[in-house]
Amino acid sequence: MSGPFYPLLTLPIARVRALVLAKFLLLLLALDCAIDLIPHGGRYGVGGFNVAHFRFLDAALPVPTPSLYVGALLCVSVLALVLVVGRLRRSLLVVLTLVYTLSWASSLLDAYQHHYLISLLLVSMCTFRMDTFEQALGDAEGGKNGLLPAPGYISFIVTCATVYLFAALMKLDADWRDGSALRRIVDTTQLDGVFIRFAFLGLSEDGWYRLLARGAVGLQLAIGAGLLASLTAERRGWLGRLLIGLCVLAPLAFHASAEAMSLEIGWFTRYMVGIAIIAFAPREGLETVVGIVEWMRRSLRRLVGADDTENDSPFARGVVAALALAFGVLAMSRLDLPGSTAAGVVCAVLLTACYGFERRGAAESGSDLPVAFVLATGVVFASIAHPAIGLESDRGFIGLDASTVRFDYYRFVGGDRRRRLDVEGAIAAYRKSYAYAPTEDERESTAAKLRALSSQRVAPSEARTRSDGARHR
Amino acid sequence: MTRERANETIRSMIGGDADDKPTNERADEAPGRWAQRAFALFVAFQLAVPLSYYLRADPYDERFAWRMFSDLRVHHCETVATEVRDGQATTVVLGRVIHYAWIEHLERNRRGVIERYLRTRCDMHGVTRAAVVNACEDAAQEPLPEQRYTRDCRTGRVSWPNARVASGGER
Repeated sequence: MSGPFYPLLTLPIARVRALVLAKFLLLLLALDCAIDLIPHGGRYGVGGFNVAHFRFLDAALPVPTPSLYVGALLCVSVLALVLVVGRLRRSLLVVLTLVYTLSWASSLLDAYQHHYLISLLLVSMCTFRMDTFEQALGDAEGGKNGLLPAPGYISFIVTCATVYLFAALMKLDADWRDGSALRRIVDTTQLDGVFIRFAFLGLSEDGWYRLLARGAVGLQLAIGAGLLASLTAERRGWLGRLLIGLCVLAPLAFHASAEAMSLEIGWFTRYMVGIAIIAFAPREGLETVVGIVEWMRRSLRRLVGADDTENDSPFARGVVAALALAFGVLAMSRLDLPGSTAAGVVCAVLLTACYGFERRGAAESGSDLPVAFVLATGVVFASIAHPAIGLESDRGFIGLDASTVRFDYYRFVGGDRRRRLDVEGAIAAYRKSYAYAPTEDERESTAAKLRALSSQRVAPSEARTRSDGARHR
Repeated sequence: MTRERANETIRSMIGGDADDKPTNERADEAPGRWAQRAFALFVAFQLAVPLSYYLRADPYDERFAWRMFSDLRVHHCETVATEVRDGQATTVVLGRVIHYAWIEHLERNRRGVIERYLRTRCDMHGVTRAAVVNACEDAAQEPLPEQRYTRDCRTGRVSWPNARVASGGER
């Protein structure tokens, strides 16, 4: 077998690396959809106005509504978590990729470029080996030392490298090179302290912005080159692997500075930092992590007797599966978001089909699906609806703040309706927002908006008086 | 240390020992021709789409081009929407007719959104002409040519800005 890409696509890749990458991306995607994207779902379909990313989608799809958009994202979240908790399954991965891609492609309201990148990465992931942790640790079938060709993983990394290289090339114009574009997009006050601390370097403010802007280009080029080099890590000696491992400093520096400058790029930083750490991490480290997770999983299964399946009847398994489905649908229906119940039902139907199909093939197949569905819907519910968890202390609150997903969702809806002079609609939305306000300050702020809106309402008796007065003129 | 031993040491540090190289022992795991072609197509697609930006008529459409925080992205525009309704010219309060998120797209000169907005206004009873005007300034806060988009509701003809927006080194 030959071909120009054969040497690249047959590079040995640690199976554990691809598996950890897949689990990480899916976990982050699930949380991203639930926590960062859903709050903006209320903007879809307002006034029947929408423009899709592609003209053919405008013709083929209905105008997306909050129910459709939020429901789609919840489906993505649940399916992603099922794939994290349970086994990777190509069929579910393909469905997830399609639904996620449609969720952003159906409207220009979602124009984050990194969502397009995630779709490309998911396409690559659909061609990953659908390993389990056990297989990835290399004690099952496989090549020497758990290394095998992994064209899907290579495609994934090449995609990431392409983004960085293009992002660097697109910054070679004068406005970026001289720092004026950077000065416009960052919060300049955050950099004043840096300029003062390093004043001994003798750079003017313009000089600093020029240096930072050009440094960003250099870092992005280094990250792209480093990612491509990481594909050859398993063929290197210890020094080569060490040098490749040190390349992780480039994405850490780049993305840390982007975060420090408060650039509004969603969860892009988290994705790319995680991908870089996994791509550059030593294989032994990843195998240790996976080994620990696999040990915990086996211990838990032994504890609950999940391995003792000799006495399980098909009826008992069916009851367990049905209870799991019911729990999942109930959890989703309690979210109080448009489309949440439908999303729960759709996921339940999909997983039931998957479960039934797998069990026809082998009696033990699909056994992880009911538990995975319960855990997935539980995590989605918790991430959207969790209260504050922690302790008040002298230094303030220490712990996890309450989720703001539903508060933000209804607050944004209320704000839009208020702007469009839909007083009753705004009041209805702000009342829900008030119920989900995570802190006392936000509750009071919402209450103030409700009072202001209520004063704009015309009381029924006053309305009759006014209309009577008009008739008698 | 002999030269051979030194070379061996360096090889082991950088390139690994030839005998130790992991090998693909399963020929059926190697990607076939179709896999290689699919990979090549996928990479070609990822290269072609960003490069196609330079062939697009609309310089403000930076989607899929990996132009994060480009000079165009930091242009700041003030949008005014007007229309002629029942013979009278009026200014449209955009926040009352579309979601504010779409207003941001209008401000960023997104042609697809502007075109749809103008068509939507023309569908309103009595509207004979609809317009969106963006007054923009560049990253250095220098004013740019006005971007004016109008639609004649009777003929459906849309006129686009004449002046190409300044970008890159152009002034």
